[in-house]
Amino acid sequence: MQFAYRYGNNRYGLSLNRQGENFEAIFEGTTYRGSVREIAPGFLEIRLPSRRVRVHVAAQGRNRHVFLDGGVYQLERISPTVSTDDDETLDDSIISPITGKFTALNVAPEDMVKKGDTLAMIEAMKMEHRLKAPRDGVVARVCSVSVGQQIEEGELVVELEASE
Amino acid sequence: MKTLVANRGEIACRILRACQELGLPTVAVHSEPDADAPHVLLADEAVNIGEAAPGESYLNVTKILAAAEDTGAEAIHPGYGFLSENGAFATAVEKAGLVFIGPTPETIRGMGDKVAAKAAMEAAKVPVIPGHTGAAEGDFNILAEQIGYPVMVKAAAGGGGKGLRIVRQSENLTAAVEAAQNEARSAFGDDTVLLEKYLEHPRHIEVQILADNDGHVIHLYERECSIQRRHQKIIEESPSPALTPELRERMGAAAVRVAQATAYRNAGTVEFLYQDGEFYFLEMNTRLQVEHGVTELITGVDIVKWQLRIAMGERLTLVQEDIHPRGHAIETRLYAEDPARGFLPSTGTIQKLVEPTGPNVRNDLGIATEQEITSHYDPLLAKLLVWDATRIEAVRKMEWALGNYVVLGVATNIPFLIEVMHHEAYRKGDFDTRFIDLYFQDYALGGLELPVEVLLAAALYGATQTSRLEGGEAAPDPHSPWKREGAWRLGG
Repeated sequence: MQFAYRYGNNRYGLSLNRQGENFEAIFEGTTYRGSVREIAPGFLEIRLPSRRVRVHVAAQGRNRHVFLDGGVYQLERISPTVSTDDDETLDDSIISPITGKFTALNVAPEDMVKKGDTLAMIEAMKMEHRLKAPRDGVVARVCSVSVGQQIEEGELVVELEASE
Repeated sequence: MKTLVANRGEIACRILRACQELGLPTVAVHSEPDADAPHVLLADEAVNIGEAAPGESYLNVTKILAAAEDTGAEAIHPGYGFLSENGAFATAVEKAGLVFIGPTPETIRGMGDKVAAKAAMEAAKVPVIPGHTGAAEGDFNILAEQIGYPVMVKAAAGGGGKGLRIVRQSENLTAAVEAAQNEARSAFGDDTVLLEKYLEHPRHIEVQILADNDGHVIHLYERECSIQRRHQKIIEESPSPALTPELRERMGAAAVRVAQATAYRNAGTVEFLYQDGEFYFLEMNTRLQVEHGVTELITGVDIVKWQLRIAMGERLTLVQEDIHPRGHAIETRLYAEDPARGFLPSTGTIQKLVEPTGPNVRNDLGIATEQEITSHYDPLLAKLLVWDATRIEAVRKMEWALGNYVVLGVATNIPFLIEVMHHEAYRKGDFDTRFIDLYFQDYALGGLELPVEVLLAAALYGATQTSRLEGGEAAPDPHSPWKREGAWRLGG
């Protein structure tokens, strides 16, 4: 079975065959043979010839959170068949990096903005976050969330007109 | 004494447990999204006091007093933050015929006025930061010489760094005063400026005190709180690596004088700045502190239970000679902040939580699996405290505990805390309030190399779920995140 994950900006694919506790995985040309045991839900013990690790895993939508040796790794499960080289560039879109209260919108469509201008502010956990213009440009549109309302992480706040 | 806890999160849990130990009936209040929060589940009764926004719930005096009346609560513990240092709230509680678990409203108000508090401390012979608190007249040059350079020129109406100048040499003073006056005039409409000694490399050291209703005051020694990020404490410990036994005694005695001068009752904390063998009164926190636990670990005194006992009119039976701190305690604060993204607040659902346990490891938790961490409240998720015989052993224990702390679902500052524990200056105890700025100014959690085991784990976990589906097994875990989302899905 083919699996693919995105971690940071990279894509990692591996194939995995599993029979009972034993598995065989191929990753970047190397074959890993070992066994796995689920000690408790989401708590796996993986034995490889040279080492044994205990790992916590949780899944949330397409996200996989993995805890190993004090480190937390967040992976995103992606399709093993589609290459992700065509990542859309979002340079024109200013996206809310957090979920919080939308406290200020300083621009309207057709406004000229300069790189570094504060376009909008979002408050979360008693802290204020300023969304700044990534480049000079003209505002194409702004989000429909009204000031004072909740805004979700990933939601578009301001879109600039495409630069020529 | 039926006690209502007007707070949430780990501190509400801490206080509710102390009430239970003393056999006191408890009432929790909560906002709508907190209906299933840990503090609600701990209390005997819980009252929904409104919407998520603090002003509609945890900061709403009318609703909290109504909840107290409806449940027959006799006392209110405010915790920290929210209404804990609001004199008007304390007054309203007392007017409603209830016990406010804390100092008197007059004390809270008196300490809230920073200028008046400083004057009161000077009168009580408590060292304050040398400075000129009077009006604008007078020769600034003479004043600055008296105080000693470097000095800080600051707007009396100040705030936000406006109208603030640091002057290191006398020839720059006049220009700095004029600039500060101009800035103060345009920012606050008042060009009064003050002079104060500027401390270049202070430590933040505070002293815990306990006082009963009869004026009996003791101190529970100090907490070192210099490790701060953007004025937010992140690591505290006791004892402070900076103090000599002699200084420790002097600071403790000064804190007791502060409490006596203000007719203080209940638990409080006197904050000092410390530099080059001298300490200066900064302010008094008229409430329970986040970091009270480190003091509990080294003294064996349960501060929260004493708060409740004093509020019930009991006399403080501890005397100063009985307080013998031993060993070393460290606390780290776990925040829902993502060190890989400039410490942005991180929201989400706690998918998995396994806190480290073992000898002398204390977890003050306000979160649970499946709880949603929203953007409405403070990002403090939990506090992790350890105790050991020596400082370096405590540091090692903290490293172990942080490295075994599993929180999945929201990003936390745990990797950053581990880095601080590893830092040579921290390990030596050689730091001041500039520590984070000096050594972690541009800190960003680099993308960790992805170990192949992580990839294997993700895929094997997925394969496990798939085989369950194929085998038609029921979900073995009622708390499984999979169950929440309904049907099993194919693959990891």
